[in-house]
Amino acid sequence: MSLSAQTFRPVVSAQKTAFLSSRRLFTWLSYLLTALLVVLFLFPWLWVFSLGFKTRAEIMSPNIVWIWTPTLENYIEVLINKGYWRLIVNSLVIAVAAVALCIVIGVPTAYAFSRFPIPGKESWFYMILTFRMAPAVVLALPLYVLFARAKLLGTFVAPILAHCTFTLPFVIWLMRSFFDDIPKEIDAAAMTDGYSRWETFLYAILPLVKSGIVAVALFSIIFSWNEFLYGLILTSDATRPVASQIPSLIRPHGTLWGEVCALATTASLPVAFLIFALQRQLVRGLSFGAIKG
Amino acid sequence: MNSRRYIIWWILPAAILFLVIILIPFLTALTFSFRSFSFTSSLSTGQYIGVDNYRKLVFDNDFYNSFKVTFLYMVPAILLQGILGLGMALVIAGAVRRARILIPIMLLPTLLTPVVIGLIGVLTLNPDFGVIGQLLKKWGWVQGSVLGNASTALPAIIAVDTYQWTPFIAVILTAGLLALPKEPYEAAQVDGANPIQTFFRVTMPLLWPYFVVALLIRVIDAFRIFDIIWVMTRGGPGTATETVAVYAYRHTFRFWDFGYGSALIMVIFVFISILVEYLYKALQRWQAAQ
Amino acid sequence: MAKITLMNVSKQYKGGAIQALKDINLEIEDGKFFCLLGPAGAGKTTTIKLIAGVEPVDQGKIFMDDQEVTHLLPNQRDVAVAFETYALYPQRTVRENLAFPLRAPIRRKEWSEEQIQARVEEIAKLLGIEDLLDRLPRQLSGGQRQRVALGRALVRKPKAYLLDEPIAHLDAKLRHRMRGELRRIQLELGITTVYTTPDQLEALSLADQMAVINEGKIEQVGSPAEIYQRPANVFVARFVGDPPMNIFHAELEDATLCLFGGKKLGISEPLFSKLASAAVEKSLIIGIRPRDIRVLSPSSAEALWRGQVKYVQVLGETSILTVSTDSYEVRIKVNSQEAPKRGEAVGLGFDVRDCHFFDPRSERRID
Repeated sequence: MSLSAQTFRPVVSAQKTAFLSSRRLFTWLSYLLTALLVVLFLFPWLWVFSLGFKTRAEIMSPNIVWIWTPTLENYIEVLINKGYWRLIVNSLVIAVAAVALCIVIGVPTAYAFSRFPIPGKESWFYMILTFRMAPAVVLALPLYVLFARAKLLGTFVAPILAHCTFTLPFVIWLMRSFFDDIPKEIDAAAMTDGYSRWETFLYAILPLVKSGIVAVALFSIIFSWNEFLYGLILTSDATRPVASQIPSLIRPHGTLWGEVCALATTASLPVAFLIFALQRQLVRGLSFGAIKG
Repeated sequence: MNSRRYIIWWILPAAILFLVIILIPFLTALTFSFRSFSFTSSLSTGQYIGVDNYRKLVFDNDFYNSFKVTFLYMVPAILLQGILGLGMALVIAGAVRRARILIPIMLLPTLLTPVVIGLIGVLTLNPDFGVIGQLLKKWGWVQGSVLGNASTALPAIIAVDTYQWTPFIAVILTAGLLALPKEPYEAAQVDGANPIQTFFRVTMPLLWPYFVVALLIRVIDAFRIFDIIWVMTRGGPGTATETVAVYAYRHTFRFWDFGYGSALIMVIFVFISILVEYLYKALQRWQAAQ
Repeated sequence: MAKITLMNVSKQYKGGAIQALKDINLEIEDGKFFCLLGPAGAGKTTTIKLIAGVEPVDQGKIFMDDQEVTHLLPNQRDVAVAFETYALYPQRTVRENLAFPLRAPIRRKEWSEEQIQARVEEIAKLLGIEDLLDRLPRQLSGGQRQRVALGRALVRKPKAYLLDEPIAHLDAKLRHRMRGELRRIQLELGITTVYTTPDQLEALSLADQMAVINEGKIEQVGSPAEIYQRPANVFVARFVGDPPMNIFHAELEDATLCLFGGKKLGISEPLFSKLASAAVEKSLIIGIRPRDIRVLSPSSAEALWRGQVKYVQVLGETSILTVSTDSYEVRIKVNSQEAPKRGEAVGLGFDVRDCHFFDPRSERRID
């Protein structure tokens, strides 16, 4: 009895350490793979970034030029001489205004969809999703006509409202699933505590979905920032967002690669900064409850 | 709660916005689809021509082709992005727990606009000075230009799209992985499950809702794909990469054929609404089954 | 403070598939401690939710004093609720949870910040959670959360407290103390209180008035004494009292009551004629409380039944015997000193005055 216990014990502990070390190995392996992935996904961005500092000859060289004297020529040309820094401001104005508008009016709507007996609720939902899925060109033409009649072409109103066509359905759709995950007892508690429906929404429910709103808003800003078609056809040179202007650097005699790269990397920085600043909220927002369809 | 008559105030602003920017334009397009606009005349001279635009559509082979191309792009792209995104999330979740900054770093490709991603694709796939294009030529995998070849253009677009959106899916799934409860894993360990069993019996079922949401966002966007293709191939060579959106754009804004373009739009819309309803119902059934 | 009246209230769920409440009529007197007793799923929580107004009534009316509140919103009814599911605000600390009702915009003028803090501390001390004030709900145990939920209701002085199993998840000792505290607070403030519980002892010990509810129907309303002494039907008879009442079938035979085992019990003429008019084919249901049965020697002439002691459950001063006879298992409550041993043969006897009689078809009490 005592003998078997003695012989048995070391075996158990050996197994335990083996298990632990294999797990540690696994962890290190995953870190290594992560590093590789980071390089894989960062490399093209860095590469584009580096091209912005190269001359045309260096970019078009059949052999990659690894060592060169960086030039600011492309940045100066595209941002200052062509004045495209303003396009980045335009993108910011359009994306922020559209997303802010859609959050302010979409979140209460999503709450209403989650809590109230709205007649034909699910049919409305199909419709909202359908419009979210339809290609921009479906609405681009009629919106063009509408804004032309309202004399809004060339103002910021046109692209802002146009971006709402995909942002609003997205906000309503995702926010509804956040609200669906909050037990209705919380609403009931706040209302018996003396809060009206609207106050309940403001003081008891909204604080719970704060991170969710941040995540949805960030995604919406990414979509808005990347949008191309509305920005192209509903704007003038003064209100065009940066994404829609980039193809203008594709010239018949050859694409201005250096300038494209300089503009693209600069244009990705504001949103990257936003995500960097709100990363904690983003991760929490995405994992809050289980977001579902 | 008898706030029934106040419900309207909750949804009224959204309903008005929806009406103005979505429903009215949509109905405008519906009326356009029954009218004729010629290249030379101005907007206001649209003649009522009944269902002629729709009749023309029925006999247009390019129209059918565009649906085929859209699905040839959509299905492999989403499968690829789903699988790679899951793999990526499983790899990086551990590291992200310690360094959350990996999330914005990973999202950098998603933040470059599709137009730029497309241009990078053009640049890297160029057979004369692009990094990948040169290699493909040297190894003899592709004769000449990748994007100029009907059989390789669409895979190239899928590859570029996958590059942009895989991190997006991975980030959603990583957030899901980090939020998984510990208890089922402890239970699995007590039951003596090996890592593979644990993955399929514990991780996947818990991660499913995140997976579904990530894929749904992608499915919804995939039908809209336009910019990447427009920048990389303009739908060519021929109509090899002409998706529904590119086709509609070409007819509406290149040929300024508003009547025909609107008829197209209506058909696309009806098609999508059926697709959405089907997807949504399938999803609900699936959720109910859980 | 208010009288609460429910008139013909019904409630369905899932589009009528589930009938949660069936034609409920209740009158809860002003300032009384009213217990709603019933098993899980009986409709206690639904009743609370309807009175609070957090769910709409399908049919019927609800009044507070003489004002109809059926269509009023919860915040217009001035009731405080402790939810069975706690429903704490997860991102707020215990302190903020407790202060939340006082910070409602409609009460902005009533409560200054200092008053709020003082009141929160007072309530926290009362509930023994003063050390947890700066924690979040997820950092609390179930019992602690429940006390916060209760505190959030008690922090105000509303027209009525609606407490849905408010101490069910506390440990036994604390539950006992909280029962006393609740009763003391209620007596002090005189606020109408509706209190649900599945625990009959809790209901009996707390209530001024109580109702027994089962499957969405009110079985009986009355004072605890009435309900214990004169249960209106077999369900109430079994549900109230621990251990539950022994229930048997018996036959009426020539001025006697024929029990199982063939023993006949002589009964008075008035009782016989009353029972005879209510009985169905001479059959009746008899109930007798465990403490009303006497343990005798097996050979005793008074013994109506004979049997063997199957279990002895010692509860301290008293013990519960389970005696198996020919047809039934009978439970008896005896003083522990007098308890027979397991396996011992015993005789059982009781007095016909301690019997409760029920109609075998409707299971209603025969008076």
